[in-house]
Amino acid sequence: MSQSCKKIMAVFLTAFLLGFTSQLGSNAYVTDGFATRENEPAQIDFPWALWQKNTGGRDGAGLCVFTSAHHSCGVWADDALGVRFLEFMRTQPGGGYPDKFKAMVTRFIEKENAERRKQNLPAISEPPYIQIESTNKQEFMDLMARALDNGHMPAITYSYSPSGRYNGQQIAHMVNLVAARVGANKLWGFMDNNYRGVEWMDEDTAWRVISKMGGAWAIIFLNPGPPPVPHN
Amino acid sequence: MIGAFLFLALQWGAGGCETASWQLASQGIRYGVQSRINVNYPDDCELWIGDGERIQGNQIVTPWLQPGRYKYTLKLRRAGQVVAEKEVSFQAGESVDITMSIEPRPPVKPNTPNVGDLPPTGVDVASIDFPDGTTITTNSGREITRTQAKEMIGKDKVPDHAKCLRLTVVGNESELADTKTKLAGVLNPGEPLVLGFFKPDAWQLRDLKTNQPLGFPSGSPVTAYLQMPSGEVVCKSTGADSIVAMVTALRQKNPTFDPAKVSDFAGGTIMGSGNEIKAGVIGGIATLLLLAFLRKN
Repeated sequence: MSQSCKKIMAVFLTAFLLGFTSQLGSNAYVTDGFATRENEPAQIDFPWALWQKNTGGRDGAGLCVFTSAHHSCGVWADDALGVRFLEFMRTQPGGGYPDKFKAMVTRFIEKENAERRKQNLPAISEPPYIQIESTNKQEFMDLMARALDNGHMPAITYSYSPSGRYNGQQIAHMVNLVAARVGANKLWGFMDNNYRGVEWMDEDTAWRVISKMGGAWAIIFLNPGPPPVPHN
Repeated sequence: MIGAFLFLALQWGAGGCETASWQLASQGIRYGVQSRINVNYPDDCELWIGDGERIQGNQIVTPWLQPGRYKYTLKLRRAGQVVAEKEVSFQAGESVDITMSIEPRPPVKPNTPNVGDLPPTGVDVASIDFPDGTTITTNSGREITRTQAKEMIGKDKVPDHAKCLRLTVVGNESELADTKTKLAGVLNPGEPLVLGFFKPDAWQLRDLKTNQPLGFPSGSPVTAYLQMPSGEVVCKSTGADSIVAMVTALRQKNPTFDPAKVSDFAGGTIMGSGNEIKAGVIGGIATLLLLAFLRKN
């Protein structure tokens, strides 16, 4: 084999290894519960019994955006977007993006209130939320950490699994963020709506996972989560 | 509002186009008949008449029309973009059913290859125009700054939940509604108190691993716990009026507080800093030096 051939092969091998390691992120791992391997707790301790697996809308396209929103709002923040929102979305076309999310929440609340009027029940209003779209890592990750520190559970974009889920393929998915900058290694924790368990990774990997589809998108519901366990 | 639609509706009869009849409606002259246009369109789209008016629901009811033929231009918008356009003509008084469809969307990008092998996902990347920087919007679609977002997430408008007292109210639906209404009368927006209203069977009140109660009130009659952020229960109250009284008491003046004891910044220093601290440090060092000197001698 000629010297130039060896050089070309070495370049390809290096590029392959760099690409492979950047995709899989050797530090990512999954735990069953809401704590790191070092037993450092996530900011969110979501009840697995109320975890919902992602499904498709009426056209078969996935409902990850709405399943994540259900976890964030319908369960964690105990808002108007209860289980019925997800049931409603299963009758609608799947797939989600910021404008569609807003439109669907509005339409669902209108529909719910029409039914509540018939039953003489008080009207419900949209839960307060903000949507963040960003290509700026520092700004975005700081906002996410702040949200989690204050007890909110963001729904967030997810482009690939550094622990090897989804056959290592790039995807366009939305999951829930349950931990930010936790423990000595400042790890981030993701709760997927296709797999149980929390996937942990460092901040650089987390940003790649969140933004690899071209940017980051998050929905943060602003109502509070459950009360702390009472004690004397 | 609906009278404005007639700007877009041209009336024409056997002799061709005639003048628009919107003036009649705008003058309040109600004669003639209304038409109804029922439009079947995809759920993720918005229905508009031209560019002027969005229609909620699936039916357009026209203003009162004189006899003749009319024409509307209907548009479907998705994510702010016009994705379909159709003209519909009708006689005054006629009911019309139309279907507006759009070209099938390009498949959602995720899982395009080997779609059957992977679980469903569903972010429609093609419909997201990621900004250069950060864009934040509220429910209403209003764009806000990062500073405003930070305030909404953590402080001011939405309290910093990690540091606030929690009022957890447990009761049946009507009791909770009653308590909520009464509390609204005594709480100010931005009050540093996180409110939670739960029915007795709410998951938040149980240990989901064992299904055992966590110790919150059983909820009959309506009862509230006032908790520290750590979970410590500092007080409880039963009955809507009593709960309101407990919350009101939180807002009353502390009898031991004496405004006269608060340092006045007009003096140039904040109590516990500045000269007092310097004096303390210098005095401490001097004492240590004196003790060392005495021991040596």
